[in-house]
Amino acid sequence: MLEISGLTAGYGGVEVIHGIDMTVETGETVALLGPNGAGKSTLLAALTGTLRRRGGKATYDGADLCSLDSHKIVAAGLRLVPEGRLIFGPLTVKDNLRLGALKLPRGGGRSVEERFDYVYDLFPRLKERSTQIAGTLSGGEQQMVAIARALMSAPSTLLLDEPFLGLAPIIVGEIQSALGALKKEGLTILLVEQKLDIALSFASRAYVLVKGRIALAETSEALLKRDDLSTLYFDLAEDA
Amino acid sequence: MGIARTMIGAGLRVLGVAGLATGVMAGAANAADTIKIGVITDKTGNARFYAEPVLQGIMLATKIANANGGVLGKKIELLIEDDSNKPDVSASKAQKLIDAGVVAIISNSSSTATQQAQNTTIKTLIPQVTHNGSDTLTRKLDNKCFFQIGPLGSIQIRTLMAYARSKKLKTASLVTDNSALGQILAKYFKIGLEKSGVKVTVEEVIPAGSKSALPQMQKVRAAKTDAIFVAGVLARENTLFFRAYRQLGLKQPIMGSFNLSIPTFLRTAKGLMEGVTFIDAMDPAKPEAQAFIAAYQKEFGKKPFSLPAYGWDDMNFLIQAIKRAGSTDKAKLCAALQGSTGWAGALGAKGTAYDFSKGRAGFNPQGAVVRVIKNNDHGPVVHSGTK
Amino acid sequence: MSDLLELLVSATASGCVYGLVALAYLLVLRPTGVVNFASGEWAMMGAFAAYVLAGMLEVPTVVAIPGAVLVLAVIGWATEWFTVRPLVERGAGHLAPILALLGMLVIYHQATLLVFGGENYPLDGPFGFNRVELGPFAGTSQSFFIIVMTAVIFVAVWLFFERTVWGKSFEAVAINRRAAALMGINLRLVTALSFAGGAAVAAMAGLLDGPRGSVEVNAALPFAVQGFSALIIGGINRVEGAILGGIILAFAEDLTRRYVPIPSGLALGVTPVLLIAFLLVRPTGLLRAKEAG
Repeated sequence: MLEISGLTAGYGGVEVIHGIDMTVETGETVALLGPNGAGKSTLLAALTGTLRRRGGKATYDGADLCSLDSHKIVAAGLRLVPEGRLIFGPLTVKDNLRLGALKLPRGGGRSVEERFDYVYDLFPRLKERSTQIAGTLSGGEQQMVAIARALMSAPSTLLLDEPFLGLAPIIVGEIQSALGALKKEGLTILLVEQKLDIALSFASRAYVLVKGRIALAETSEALLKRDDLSTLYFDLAEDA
Repeated sequence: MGIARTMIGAGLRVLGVAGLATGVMAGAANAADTIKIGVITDKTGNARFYAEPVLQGIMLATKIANANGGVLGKKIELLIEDDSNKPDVSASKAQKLIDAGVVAIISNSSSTATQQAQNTTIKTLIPQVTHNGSDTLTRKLDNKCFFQIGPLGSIQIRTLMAYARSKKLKTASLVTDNSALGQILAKYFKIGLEKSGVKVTVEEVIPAGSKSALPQMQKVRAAKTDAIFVAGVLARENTLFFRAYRQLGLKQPIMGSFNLSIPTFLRTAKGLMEGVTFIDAMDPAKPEAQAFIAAYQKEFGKKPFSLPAYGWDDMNFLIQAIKRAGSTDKAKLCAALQGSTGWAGALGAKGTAYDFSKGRAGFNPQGAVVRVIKNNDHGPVVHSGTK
Repeated sequence: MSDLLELLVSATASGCVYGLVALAYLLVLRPTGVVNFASGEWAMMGAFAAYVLAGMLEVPTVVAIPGAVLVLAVIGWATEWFTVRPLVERGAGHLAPILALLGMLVIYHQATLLVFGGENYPLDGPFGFNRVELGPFAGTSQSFFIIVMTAVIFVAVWLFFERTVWGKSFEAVAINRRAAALMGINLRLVTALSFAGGAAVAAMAGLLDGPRGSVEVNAALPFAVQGFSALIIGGINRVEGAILGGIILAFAEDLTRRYVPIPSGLALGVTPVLLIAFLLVRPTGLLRAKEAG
């Protein structure tokens, strides 16, 4: 379970997120909505060890995320698929995936080979392209590599930062169905999105982050029932 | 002398000088009754590698003089100042020593620093002695009380050329490195060789930091000259030279500058230098040199190379003059130094002596020697003099 | 012709030494982006470490060589720990570690000078300098030893980067530090190991070259310049580039000195001319990164 309370973080002299409270239960799919510059990526950076917190608390299954280095957070089972994918362009697809498995917990019947089978099953295209240089793939395929790479260490929670940004609709559909399969398996997912429809159809609950603060927290069902949803979302964005 | 760059090993430097210091300083207890002699040396600058072995010789001569009852019934007290081989520091250290009441100053860093210190000593005409070999030291200033021991650079070159003539060489290869001193020496070598009727057909440079001297030495081999002259002063690059010489199976005689007399080569080019000839100022067959060698061996338990002999001569030159002057008055001492004729030091070929009556550089022009490396050691003299 | 064959072995050995220093630069440069000019000092210190072990303590060569390499690996590790890491963790700019390492260069240099002075020290090669003939090629046993050891090191380093997941993770750090961190790669460990590896490889360059001339503090700057030139010639992207650049540089130098009819003083210009030519014409070096398209 991911628990965040009063978390404050920022870059240099600028505080970007101010006292975030948030919870993601084990097995839950939660969306984090918000316009550009709301602080979504900053929050993810603070949760994954690349940005030091200024105040508040964030724990994952009881472990204090703010005191752990990135590689220990990965080992704890919390993985981020970053915005912009950040795949290793000069390496092959297979090498990218193999690097994803560096923190695969030993034992539990899991092996690197088993993980390869698992992600190739999820994204059959990657199996075809396994020896290709990752930088030569299409944007959508690169996003598949990014997600598959994160799944290689058999994480218990996946943080996805705008995975559909700039992708062709057909690929978006493919990735959505893969994420749907992960959800069905019971993987805990926090999906960061700008687009309401995608996020709310996928997640059971949603937080709306505006200018570094949580402006709204509702179940997707409740949110979708509100007629004024789009207006509300954009108003919040402009007001705050 | 001025053409040596790196000298005796670190351990020897530290232990040797420190050990002697106790002997010399013990005499300093009753300072009023001592004869104070100033030494400007380089302990921290780039001339320290040869300054420190020379200082050993100065201290050894002092210790022995004091053990034999001192001079004029007084012990000699050394006041040692470090100038880091910086000319302006050297001049101000000279003043400091004069203010401390020294009767004479020995300059033991580079020629440049020694020259600058003269600007101070000339004002009071306090006797100043050095063993630096630069030809210009007694020419730039008319400093009546400045004296030079040891062979001048020009004498060294002329001696080597006389040796070359005796070998009836027609052609020679000239190998040097890209250091400033190596380049200057090569220039003098070339002028000297061509004056002696030896044609320099190959000139090669081994740049500092080279990993091998094979290409240059292949050219030397191809030229088939009668001899190879080494003007380089960098120990590492000269070692590459000797190694390539052996590897390529060359047989011509190698003739080198004073620089090859530094003991470093016997370690870095161990076994590669057999038969190499080089300029030196000490002739182990000379009785005065043997006396020095024996004293050194007794003190340090090993055979000295020529460097400490320079310091030994510096100090003994002063001591004999003070004795003859019967006083430490600077004018009287100055006159006695100038009147030193027929005094033989540890330096110089067998049978030669210093003569300061004709000039303030008193080393006998026939006194420099050519020695040969034998059994990986500085062997006997094979030639002496400039004729 | 026989001159040329004789020269080839010696020049290849020199090129191997350059290549090892270039590899020392490369190992630090790839994952950290830091050009470490102290690589030359590391090579010089490696030679001194070997001299202390083999020459002074009279430890057998088979122990002295790994011993000296280990000493330098520890020095490299400590350098990263005490000078580079604190700067990076306090968010200093990209130039700060480079400047800090230049400062370390001065410290290494002066510290070695303080202990050993400006004196030259002999270092014995394990097989001496006997003439060895291999078909038409002839050279000293030390030259062949240099070539064999360098080949072993380059093959080992190449296999590490190409064939092991550990090597791939170093590569990942070189490509994108943040992405590598998200894989669970310990950036601190990789950086520290890169410095340790760089210093170890530099030490090999120094202790292999030492027996040819001698061991001296002044050797550091030529190592730094030659290694850097080899790095620029071969390209900073691939391990093979370092050795290729080193050998090209050594051949250019030795063949110019031997065969080009110019005063040998002018042959000194070969290295800077090659360096400038590559910086102008092909700043990425001979070998390009493996990025297709």
